[in-house]
Amino acid sequence: MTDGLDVGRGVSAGLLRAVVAVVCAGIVADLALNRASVVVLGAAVLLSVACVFLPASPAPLLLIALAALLITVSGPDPLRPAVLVLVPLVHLLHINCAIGALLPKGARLDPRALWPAARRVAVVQLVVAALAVLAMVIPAGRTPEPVELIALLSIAGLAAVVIVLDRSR
Amino acid sequence: MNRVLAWATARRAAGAAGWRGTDALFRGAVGGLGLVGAGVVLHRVDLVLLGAPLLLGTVLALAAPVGAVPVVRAERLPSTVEAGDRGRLAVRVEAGPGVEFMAVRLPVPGAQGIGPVHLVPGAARELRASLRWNAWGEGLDLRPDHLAAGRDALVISGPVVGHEARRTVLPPVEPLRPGPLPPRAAGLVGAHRSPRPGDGTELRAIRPFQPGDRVRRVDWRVSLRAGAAAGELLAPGTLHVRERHAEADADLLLVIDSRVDVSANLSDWSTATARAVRTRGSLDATVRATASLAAAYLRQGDRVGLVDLGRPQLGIGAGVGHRQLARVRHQLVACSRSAGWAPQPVLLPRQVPAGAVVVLLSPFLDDAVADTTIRTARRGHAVVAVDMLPTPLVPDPEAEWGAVVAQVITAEHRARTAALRSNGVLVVTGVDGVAAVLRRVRGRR
Repeated sequence: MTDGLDVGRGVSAGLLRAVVAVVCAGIVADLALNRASVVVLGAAVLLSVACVFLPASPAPLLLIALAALLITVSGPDPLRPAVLVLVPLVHLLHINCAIGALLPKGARLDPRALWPAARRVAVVQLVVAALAVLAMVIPAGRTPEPVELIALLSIAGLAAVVIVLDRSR
Repeated sequence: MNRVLAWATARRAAGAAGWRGTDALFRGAVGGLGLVGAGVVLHRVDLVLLGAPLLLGTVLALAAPVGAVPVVRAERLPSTVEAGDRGRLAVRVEAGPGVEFMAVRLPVPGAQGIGPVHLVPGAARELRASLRWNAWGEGLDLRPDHLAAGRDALVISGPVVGHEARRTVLPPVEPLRPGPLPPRAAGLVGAHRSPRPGDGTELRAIRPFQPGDRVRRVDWRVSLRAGAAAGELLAPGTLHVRERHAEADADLLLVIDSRVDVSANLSDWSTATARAVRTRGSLDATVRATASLAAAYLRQGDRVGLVDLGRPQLGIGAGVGHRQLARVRHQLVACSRSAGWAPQPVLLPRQVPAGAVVVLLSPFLDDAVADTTIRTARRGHAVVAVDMLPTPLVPDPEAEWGAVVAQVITAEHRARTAALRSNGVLVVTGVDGVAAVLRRVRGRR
């Protein structure tokens, strides 16, 4: 816990928007490399612009959904580089838009404020990377029905956890 | 209808009072669950991998309870400060351990106003900021608006508008050499030599003793010499006394013209400014000069009063001492707060004490102020007009007749100052010239 903090000039909060712009550019480039159509790329660019200027809008969610849909339909291999690159990009877009939405125009930023979130992003990405490795190791084939049922129940359980945590605050 | 509106407003206020989810919470929960669920149903690992960070991050973020609504309190600072002063501001934050971000509006040193919003760690319990008050005047310099956010900014509390803190920054006092003032006809104390005999320290004359003279005033050396010349000590008419000048106080009336505030750029004259007073404008210079003059003459022991030509009700009577200087400086801030055009400058005879020297500071941009100055001089007062028009005037480059306008204004201004001079008003262009001119006035009297 920090007792006192000297607030100086800090850095411009525009830095967060710049990171969002870079991340969006990465997502659009990833889609372009996966032979997305011009219309889809145009929509992705528009959503990217909206993400930069309106981080508290549904634009980030729509961009994530669009990218996920396109990557899914563009190739059969679920662990190809295009997917593995998209995973951290989507996560960074989500976090940066969330924090950027807190700040009005002209705001300043103390970089120390971002450390806890950055550490958590790193932990989550390590966990997801472990999942990806696990998915590579497990032989592909038909999933037994009980496992599918357990997976669906797990998702329902996660949904319940999110709702309970959200209500308990 | 009104009841429905009131109910809706109350609901909205209640919803905004505590913690609430953001778009990011919806994105993390719905997007994460949707992608993972779709991946499981469609047997697509890539969808699960894309949704997993959102879902995991959301669960981890919501696992830390945010606690009660944070409270932000700013420590009190003095309500009156000097221009150029520095201060240290401390803002106490009471927030739960789950609060990861605090966005607080805090001032930035060297910048005007309440400052930008700063995103700081939510774990900080005290936020310290430096303040520097450069510009004099009255204004708002602290309003700690704040917004608290939990992990990953999924839940927020606020934004809450903080308590406003207004401060008066007194105009600076620059060192100025005061000149002698013509003393008033009345008064037995003061710093100025009166032409009358009295109990001062300065020698006026040595004259023969008269009934009523005090014995301690006898100049024995002269008396003995006079006795020796007469051939008899203490003979009638040989006793001489030292006569001294009386010391009298003097009144200085500082008159400001807050009706106009112009800069050297003619293009700025018709545009409004965000601040009440233009930086480096005529009113800014007038207020600084007035504060310096008041400080210099009050330090000398003179009585100083203040009159605003545009707002006569804001004037203050003549007085002495440190308290009077503080009053004058506060009143200058009040005058500039309500500054604005008034068609007729007001300087009534009752506002000018008998025998007072009037120092009138104005850019002299209209005939009315020149007439008022001349009328005051004709009443028998020594009037010094300090020309506060910034020079040289810069013509408006976008106006077709910009250069001509500048020439006309300059010519009219020159004619006005010439009229003042021809009517016995002493005109100086800077506040430094006031002392020299007053010395000349004193010499003449």
